[in-house]
Amino acid sequence: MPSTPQTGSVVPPLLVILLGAGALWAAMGIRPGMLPNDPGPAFLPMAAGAALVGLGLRLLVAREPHDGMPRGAMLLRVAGTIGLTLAYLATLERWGFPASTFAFLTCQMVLLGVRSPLALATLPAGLTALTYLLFRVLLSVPLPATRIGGMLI
Amino acid sequence: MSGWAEGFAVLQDWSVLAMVPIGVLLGVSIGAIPGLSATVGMAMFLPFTFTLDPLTGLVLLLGIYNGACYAGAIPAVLINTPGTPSSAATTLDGYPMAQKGRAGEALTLSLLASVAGGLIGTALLAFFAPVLARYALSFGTPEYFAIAVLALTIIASIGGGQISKGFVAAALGLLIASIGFDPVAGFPRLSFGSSDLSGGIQLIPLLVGIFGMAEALTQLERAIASRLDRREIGGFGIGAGWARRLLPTTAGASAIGFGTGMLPGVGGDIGGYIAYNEAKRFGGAAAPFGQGEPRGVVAAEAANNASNMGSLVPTFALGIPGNTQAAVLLGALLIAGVQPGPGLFNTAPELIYGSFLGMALAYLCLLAIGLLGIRLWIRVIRIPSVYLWPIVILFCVVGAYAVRNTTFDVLVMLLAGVLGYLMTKARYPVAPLLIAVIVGPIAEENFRRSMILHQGSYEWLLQPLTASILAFAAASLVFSAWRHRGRARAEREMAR
Repeated sequence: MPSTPQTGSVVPPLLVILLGAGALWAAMGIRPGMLPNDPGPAFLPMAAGAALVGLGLRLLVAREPHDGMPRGAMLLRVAGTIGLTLAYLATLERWGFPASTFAFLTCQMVLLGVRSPLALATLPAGLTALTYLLFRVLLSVPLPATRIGGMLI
Repeated sequence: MSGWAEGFAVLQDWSVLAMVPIGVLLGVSIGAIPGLSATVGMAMFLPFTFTLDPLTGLVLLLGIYNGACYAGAIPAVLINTPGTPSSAATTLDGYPMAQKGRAGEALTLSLLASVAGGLIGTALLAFFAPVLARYALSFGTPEYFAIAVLALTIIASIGGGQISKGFVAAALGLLIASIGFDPVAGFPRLSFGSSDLSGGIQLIPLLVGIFGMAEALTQLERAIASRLDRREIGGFGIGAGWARRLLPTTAGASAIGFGTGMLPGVGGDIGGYIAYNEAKRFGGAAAPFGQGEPRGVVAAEAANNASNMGSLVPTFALGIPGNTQAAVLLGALLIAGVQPGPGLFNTAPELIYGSFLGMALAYLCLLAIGLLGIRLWIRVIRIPSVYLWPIVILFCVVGAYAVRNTTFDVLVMLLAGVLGYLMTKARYPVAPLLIAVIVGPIAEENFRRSMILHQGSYEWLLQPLTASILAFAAASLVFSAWRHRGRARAEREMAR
């Protein structure tokens, strides 16, 4: 079931205000420009920071509705996907593209409810090989490869 | 040699020509799947253009754009869910036609209208873009600053939902654009001593994350069950009589779509709705609009395809993206080392006119592919999401990695994806963020150069053209605020 609309959380506007304040603070540390009459390198981050603070305050008062955050199985799928992508990122250069991609696709499909051993064995392997061929062989994109990972292709 | 001749000459290269059907095929496959929009598809395949020359890459992306815009009508007709946002108005009469067993007829009509709208839009683009570019060559820094502000204002204010949220997204984009070296003095900003950040946030990982990864996270929240039942599709023929009767609707809707598309931020969805309403108004009270009227399908589809071509006018002529898909195209040019803007018409006419010809060719190709594969595209909707979205994430990761072969860019892509997902949940539009990342540096550079050139005086803001453009930006803001207030009042009254 899609999440239902909820009203009035103060969290998003507060985050916007904090981000804007942080940007203003960071922009103060930028050294001024040397050209005469130049508003300087700090101009854009200052303007963006001030806008975020002002708009955040406006939204804090307005308390506009937003979609509810996912819960239960939905949250597991989203958080699990983010975690698996981070793990994929961490192993990409260590294990090499073929091994890490195969592992990522298998885990991701399990997370989404695929239980057929045949599908879990063939689809990740086929997709890994296809992507490798497409990027590495056809487009010459240097994907990370190790001896162990390379043996899978 | 004229620009057209140069464009025609480069298009004879087989590698460029081959990208037309490849792009269209990819686009149709992507557009037919609900959730995979043209922007997501273009963002996913943008890294593929790194190794191609600029025109070949551009033709591939344009093929995806055109193909996806047409194919969005397939799920709109069959399951009442637009495959891409620009096909939203197609559901109004397309789905009722399907319910009456006339889905095949609606699909043929949407294909023919898409091709006609796209070709008319391409012809108008080829006419208007060079005219505007010639005029824009005389623009100075004040005018460019004003145009960048106009693009930002309109996109942030009409992006849907509350205006303040659109501007928050735009301000966030400006903040992201600030990271790295500043464009005038070359001083490092907001890099916090990180060598990865000092070069700035790369556009591609950001774009892939904010559209591809964020959409994957949104769709993975729920397992999408295919809702395509085995309803009778019906025949695909429409008959000569209908073709004649639909011509005026097609021409009118294409003109409306193109005109609305030229305004920054007005996407094919709005163009489609405006054209649909006009077709309904001209059709009279007796016409069964909303109950399966073929003219409704034709108006929506012709307009949204022409609108997409209209959005490319400011993109080609000014280097300012008219919508998010145009921003992806600009990203492809920037990566290839091509500086978009009016100067391109003189420095690289083969690229501009080759693109125009490529677009026309893509629509002709779409006609053939659409007619031949219409039964196959219907099956594409049935691809289970449990297999689809892991593939999308894989492409996002590999695409981000391919930019500079560094995992830092993959991390940027993932963070951008999480940001885009959270923004969607909190009902913040993401398009203003991306446009601000592209347009922000243009606005900043031209503002600062104008200040330097005018010795710190703000008088340049009162130059006639600059002041007119800024006044238009302010007027669009007031209009959007007024419209939003009226809508909020109507919602409150309905709640009572």
